[in-house]
Amino acid sequence: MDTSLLSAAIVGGVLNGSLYALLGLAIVLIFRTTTVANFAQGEMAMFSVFILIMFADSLPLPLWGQWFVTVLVSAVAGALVYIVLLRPNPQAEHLNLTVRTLGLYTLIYAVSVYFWGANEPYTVPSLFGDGTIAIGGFHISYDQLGTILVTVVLGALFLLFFQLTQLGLAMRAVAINPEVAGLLGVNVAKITLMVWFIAGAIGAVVGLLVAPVSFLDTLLMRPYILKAFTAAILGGLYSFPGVIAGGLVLGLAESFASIWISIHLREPFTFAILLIALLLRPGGLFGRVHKVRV
Amino acid sequence: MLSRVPPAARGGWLVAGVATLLLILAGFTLGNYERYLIVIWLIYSISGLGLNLPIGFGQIYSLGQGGFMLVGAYTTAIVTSTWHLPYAVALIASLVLAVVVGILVGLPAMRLRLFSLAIVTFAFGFMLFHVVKSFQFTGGPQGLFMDPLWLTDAFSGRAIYFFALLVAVLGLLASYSIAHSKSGRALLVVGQNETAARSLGINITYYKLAAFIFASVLGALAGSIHAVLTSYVAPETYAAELSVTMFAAVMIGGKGKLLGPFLGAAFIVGIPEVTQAARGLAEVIYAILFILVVTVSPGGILGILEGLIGRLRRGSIKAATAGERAP
Amino acid sequence: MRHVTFLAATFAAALYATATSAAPGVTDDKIVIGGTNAMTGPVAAVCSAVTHGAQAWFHKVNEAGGVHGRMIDYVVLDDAYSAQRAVGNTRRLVQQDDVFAMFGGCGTATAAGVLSFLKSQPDVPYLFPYAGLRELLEPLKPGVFALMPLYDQQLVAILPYVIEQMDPKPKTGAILSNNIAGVEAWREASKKTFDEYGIELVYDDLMEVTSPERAAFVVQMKAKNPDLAVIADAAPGGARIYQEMKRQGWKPKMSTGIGTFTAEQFLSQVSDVAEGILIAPGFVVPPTDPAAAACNAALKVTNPDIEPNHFSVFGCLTAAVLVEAFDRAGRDLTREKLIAALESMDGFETGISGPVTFSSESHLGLDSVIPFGVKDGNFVVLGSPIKAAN
Repeated sequence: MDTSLLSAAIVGGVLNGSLYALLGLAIVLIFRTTTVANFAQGEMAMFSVFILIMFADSLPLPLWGQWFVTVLVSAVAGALVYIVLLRPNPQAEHLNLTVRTLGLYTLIYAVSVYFWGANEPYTVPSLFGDGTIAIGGFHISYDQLGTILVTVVLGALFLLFFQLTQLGLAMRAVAINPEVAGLLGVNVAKITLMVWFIAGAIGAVVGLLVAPVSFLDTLLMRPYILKAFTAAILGGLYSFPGVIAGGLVLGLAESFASIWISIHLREPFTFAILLIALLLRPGGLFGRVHKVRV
Repeated sequence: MLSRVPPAARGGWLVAGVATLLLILAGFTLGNYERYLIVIWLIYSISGLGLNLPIGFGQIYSLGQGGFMLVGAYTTAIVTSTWHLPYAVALIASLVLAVVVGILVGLPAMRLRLFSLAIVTFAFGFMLFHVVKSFQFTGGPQGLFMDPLWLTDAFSGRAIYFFALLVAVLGLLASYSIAHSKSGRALLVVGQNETAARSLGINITYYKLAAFIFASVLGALAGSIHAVLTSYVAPETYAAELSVTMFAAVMIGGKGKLLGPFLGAAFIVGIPEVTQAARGLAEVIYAILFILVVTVSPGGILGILEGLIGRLRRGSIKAATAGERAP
Repeated sequence: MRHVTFLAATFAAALYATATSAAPGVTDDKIVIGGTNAMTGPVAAVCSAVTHGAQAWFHKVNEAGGVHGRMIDYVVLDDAYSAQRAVGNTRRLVQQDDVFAMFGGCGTATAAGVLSFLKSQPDVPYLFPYAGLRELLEPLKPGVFALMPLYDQQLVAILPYVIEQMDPKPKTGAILSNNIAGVEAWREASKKTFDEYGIELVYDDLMEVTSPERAAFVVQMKAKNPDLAVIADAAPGGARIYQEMKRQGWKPKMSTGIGTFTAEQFLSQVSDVAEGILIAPGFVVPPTDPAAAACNAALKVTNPDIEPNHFSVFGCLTAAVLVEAFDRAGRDLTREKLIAALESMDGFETGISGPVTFSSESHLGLDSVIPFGVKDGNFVVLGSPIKAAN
């Protein structure tokens, strides 16, 4: 096998895989603490990129500063989603809470198409600049390198935050059992708000990483959201290291599938992996079978 | 929850009966385009009735209903227009295939729960979409044009109208009898609490699978009628978004209630129709209404209506008792 | 006796009524035609311009007095690129609003929807949708006319021209196509032309519409280093391919594609990479060409905020051809006369496209494409319209 093809497969796989993993982290975080599968996570990320190029880029700040503002605004928007969308009728069962996120998905998409659809696609400036490094005949761009770097750092920070900080501990407590956590004096509502805040921020980062590489259009995150869910399920839905591993496994597998088998089988192959994995281990590759709270 | 089904039925039957009579009348009086809209509504209602059983009674996430509709539509197109066999054959073939596909997908999937199941069923619809796009005999990316069928145009489109109405009524009756049978109650228990169901000796996999097959059969019927109505099947029509739409329709209408799917289908077909004048904003209005309904009323549109009727009734009782007290 | 007279009079009146109430949608001072197009939703950005261009041209014609004293009223309903809604809109327009003809629109799936419904209404004309749909033309349908050449017809016209332009002549070629309707015929045509010119096919692959992945294809193509790349993709996907070429530091000596590569949305993303290595088939002149000035001016009157593009110019073309046909059909307009008028067009010069010719055997009006190149961020016309050498 050609080394250039091989390195392209590895870089492409790790790159996509790390993005699936990061988006999957946001999904698992929300799911663990609120039993809501946030189908709007991808559209939230797409909207963040529009926040950047429609509003934040007129601020007198360097690009990284505009990025920071965008991530912050997206995080606040994430918290708002929780307050407006999920706080009313909180006693509703998870099927209902989940379908609300489908409604949000529809709304964000409709609003984006209404305001910005006519002129898509848009070019989004990259934080890492133009240019490539050649490794064994294969060119890896600063963009791709930067994306991998950011996802690794962010993923590590995320895990450390949950293991080491007081807030992270409280979030884990809420995830395990909100009633007990509440009895133990954890402010469950506040923690849930923080969870959505963090998920909004992570989504924004993923969007900002994806958009410069592919162009920005209203369908930006569609290919990623399904993969992110798949990564989350592969990882067992409850485990943070699990979803990261799930994302990387998925990214690499589809990358090699497209080179060794056939590129058209890439999408079906993804689901074949998922099905086989779930049939062998219904709790996910890394999860235990969890008792679901009734 | 268990006791919720039967008492609601009386009012429900009144509504369903009156609506059926009105729809029969409408079939003779309404214009061609209005009839087309009603058939589209009935198609989504039929599919929604099917999906209502796993979602509403069994609490089983199923995001693959569009895939079942695809099976019915493509089977109908191939049987009538590639093999040139009568529609009755296509209908039977669609049903048989729906049962087979329902079992093939359902058996492994029923080991899973919640979102794993949601994503796996979604993946099933997604893969079917890819399959019909890849093969020549399914028309590839362009899809299949069908031969004009008798049913499509007979009696200036009234044949398909009454056929869809008949299937919808039969679907409603079937849903009702299942909901009030031992199986329906068993499914409810499975949906409420699997541990309890197991301790009662209920065969969980069997009931879940049966619900899934019911959804598959009604989905395929809906797809088959849809193919006849538009006489053209294309992959995009039955893409994964259709599954999401169907799921939303059942939730918006009010899951677990037999009239819910009809209301949900009316929402997803009717709102875009009445907001067409709003042009680009139509989608935004649809999305806002969608969110409003499911957030304000977890019981969907039916929940809102029941609340209103309940309040009216209490109001009239109050008024009546107040009247008695007055001399 | 009086009875009989009365009956006869009624009969005569009835006869008179059928004779004067010309065709559906035609009144003394108006011709109502209908259309369905994606005016909202993701493809609206591209597709709606076709309708805007046509409406602008009709407006201009109406301002100048219309055709034979009649104004053209073009009613367009939104289908958001759903075939089902396209069928619904067509039913509404044909059965409820009684339009004279279905006209324009954009997109393969929606055109297929319109066409499938009109099978039961074969006397309603369906004219000039922007769609690469073979079913529009084959088998020949009495009332269905198209202007846009099918993908393989575009290719058969442009590819020999592109090869002739290359010096030295290409030895190796690649075919990269998206899995869209009509792609099989297109691939066959590419391979046949490669064979005729002795070009070795070194890479041939099919991409998926639902996946944005393009990098892997470019990497694989780069490994084979073809002289000439023939690419069929939508505008955004095509743009990704050329961007990836830039990222990978490789490009073929020359490339060509389908009509989507003459879209301004595509150009704005790739003008730096594609300059000098792309020749694309246009159906009409680019909006920057002096010949498009009248169309652009008309659009400026009706939709001042819309930038003229290839699709709006195509919209003008469809309207101009229809106006010409109405003019030829005369004051006593019927559907049959319109069809006869269209079939009488032989080498009609529109000024913004190759000559338009219909006949009773062929309902495809344009069999030539205009070669587009890229220069200084703009499309330029490289030569006169090229006819496919059958």
